[in-house]
Amino acid sequence: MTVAARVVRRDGPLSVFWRVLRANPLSFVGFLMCLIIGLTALVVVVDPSLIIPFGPLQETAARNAAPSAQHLFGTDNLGRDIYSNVMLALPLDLGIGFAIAGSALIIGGGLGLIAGFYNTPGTAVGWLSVSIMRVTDIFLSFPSLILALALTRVLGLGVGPTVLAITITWWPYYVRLVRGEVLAVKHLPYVNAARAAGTTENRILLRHVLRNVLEPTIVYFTLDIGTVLVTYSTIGFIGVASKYPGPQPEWGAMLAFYQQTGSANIYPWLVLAPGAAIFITVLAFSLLGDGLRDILDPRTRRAFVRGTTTHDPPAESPAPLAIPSAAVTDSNPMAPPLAPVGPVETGAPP
Amino acid sequence: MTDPVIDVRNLSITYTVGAGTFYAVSDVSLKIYPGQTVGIVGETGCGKSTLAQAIPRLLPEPPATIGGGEIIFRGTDLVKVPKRNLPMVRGTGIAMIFQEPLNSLNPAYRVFDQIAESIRIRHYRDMGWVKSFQGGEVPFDYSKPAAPPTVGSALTRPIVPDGALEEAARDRLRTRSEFREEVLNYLRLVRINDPETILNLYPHELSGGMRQRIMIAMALSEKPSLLIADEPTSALDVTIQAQVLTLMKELIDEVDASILFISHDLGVIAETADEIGVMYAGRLVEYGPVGDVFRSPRHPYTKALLKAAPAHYKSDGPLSSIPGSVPNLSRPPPGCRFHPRCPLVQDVCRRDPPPLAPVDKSADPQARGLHRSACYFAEEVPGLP
Repeated sequence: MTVAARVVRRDGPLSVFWRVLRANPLSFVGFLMCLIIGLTALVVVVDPSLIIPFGPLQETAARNAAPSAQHLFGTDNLGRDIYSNVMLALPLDLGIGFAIAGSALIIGGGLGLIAGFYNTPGTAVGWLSVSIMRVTDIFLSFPSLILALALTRVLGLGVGPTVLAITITWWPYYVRLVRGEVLAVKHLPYVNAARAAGTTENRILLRHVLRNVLEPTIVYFTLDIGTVLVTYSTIGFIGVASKYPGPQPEWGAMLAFYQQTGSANIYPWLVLAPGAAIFITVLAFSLLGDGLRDILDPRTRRAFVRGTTTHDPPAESPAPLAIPSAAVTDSNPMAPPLAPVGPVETGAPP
Repeated sequence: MTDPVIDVRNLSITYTVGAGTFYAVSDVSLKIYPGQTVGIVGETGCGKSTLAQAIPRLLPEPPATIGGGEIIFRGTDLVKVPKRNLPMVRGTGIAMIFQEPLNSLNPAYRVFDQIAESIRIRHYRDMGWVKSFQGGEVPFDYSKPAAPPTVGSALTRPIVPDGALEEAARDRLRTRSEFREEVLNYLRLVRINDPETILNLYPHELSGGMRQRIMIAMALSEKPSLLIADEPTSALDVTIQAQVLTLMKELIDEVDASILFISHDLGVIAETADEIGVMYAGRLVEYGPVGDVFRSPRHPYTKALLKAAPAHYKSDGPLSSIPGSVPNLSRPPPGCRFHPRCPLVQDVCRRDPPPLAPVDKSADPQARGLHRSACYFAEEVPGLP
């Protein structure tokens, strides 16, 4: 190809988002999975009858039936449909994941910002920062699962108390993460440059520090939803979180019930379905997390935007007889982005 | 006679690191008048950057401590201003350009947002929405922390001041069209071709020279009365250095600001500054008009420094160097700090630190632009080899 004008298209955030996902096959899969999981959960909440044929406690004629067209994941010894129960549990488990990780993000992230940014020793805010970190250390010195279990004994059975118990053990990790990132960012020259420009400390924290801390935190949050689900299911497995069988099934409780009644030894699909549900959800969010990192960081985003740099076709070029390899690369959407263009120096010569 | 823009009097700064104390800046006095460009040269570690950052109180305190002295800016001693009021001084009062253009722009924002932020800071202060002392008037005594509102005043004060909502609405209209035009003007001011494209780029997409231009545009967009340039060309390639330097020289004439130019490069200072201060081991050892200092240095250190500069890449022998080494600033030598390396050393130099006195003894010591030297034997310096 001859020299052609380079036209850099500046696209909206959505198309950048789309291109980053497309260039990253794994996170694209993660994104699709999360989308499907989210939509399914929405359908279950709005109108369960659309995709769920049986009620959670409805006893059908088929008992201990293997997976079939009528009972996708089989049935248990009373003829309860496993597929219906797994699907009914989806919104609850998803909500639990977001609720715990989300409140931990807000509580822990907020405390981490304060502890990291206002840490001048000897001042009142310095003492606040030190106290936040010592309390965090105390919480972190307990194994979180054991602490959560102990708290559920105090707070009582059920979904609400369990969510609260896990949240109480969960926020310290965010304090640590955010504080560490803040400490790294607050000493970068651009923070001092903003200070020199007359920006107030609070605005520096919210505009300059928070924005640059956001990216690793959001990624961690997405990965964390999976971890939270596993933890909740573990507590559910021990049998203190949710009651199964009941009107509102939950994956961990399902696993526990069939494992403890011994039916799982003979009819493996009873535990296979809820287990796979946990596995797929955790996997989906983990994959999405990696892609989010690329979307949030302008430096990686640039490579993808550059990848769309269009070459105007030469006006007088003869029609290609054979397919030139360069053209194939250009038109292939999954191809790696073009080599990044070096920094532009467009300053006027002296 | 006009008042100086900034009047630094006997400023001393120490760093406390572990158990040791470093006397980074000792007893430095400096006046910068409107429209003037003052250059400070010195070796690495002589305290010139510390001085530059201390003027807008940007040094982290601790570890830095302002041990004594005054920084008079618009009639107020900045040393006494409480920390929470300092942002009012910075930007529109004293702006700063830093050494590291590569990291001095926030990587998360486009060029437009970075410059618009600075313009917005100035705009809000001009409109009186945010307290400042733009315009040479001090609308309130900013050396005292603002009194917390009393219950009575909080109840009677309108939540939204009269006209603020209309102003805010107009400001939001400004945001896209007028702010954009103003940002473009500042980009053109720093000689950026094709500012419409640059506007939408992220800092990592720009070269070092471009980033430094953006930094300069940001600093100038606040219309400061004092601009401190802390080695603005040190981190750049030689060719880009020349471009940025040319730009700075042109801007000095165009912009209505006094400039404090810090550099370790004698050539850079010679090209840009009206007056030059030479620092050694935390002290100002010589000060005067650039021509006088370069033509007839009156301090042995300045003389040796000028001799050590590779001026014409001469091939007639090795470059000259100053014997000895820079003193450890945690235990500076008594008396004149240059005395262990000085060819003119006498007993008095080891005992008492020499004052920065006019070279011409008959001159009025208060006069501006006077050649001063901190050496007891300034008359003998021209006779040195």
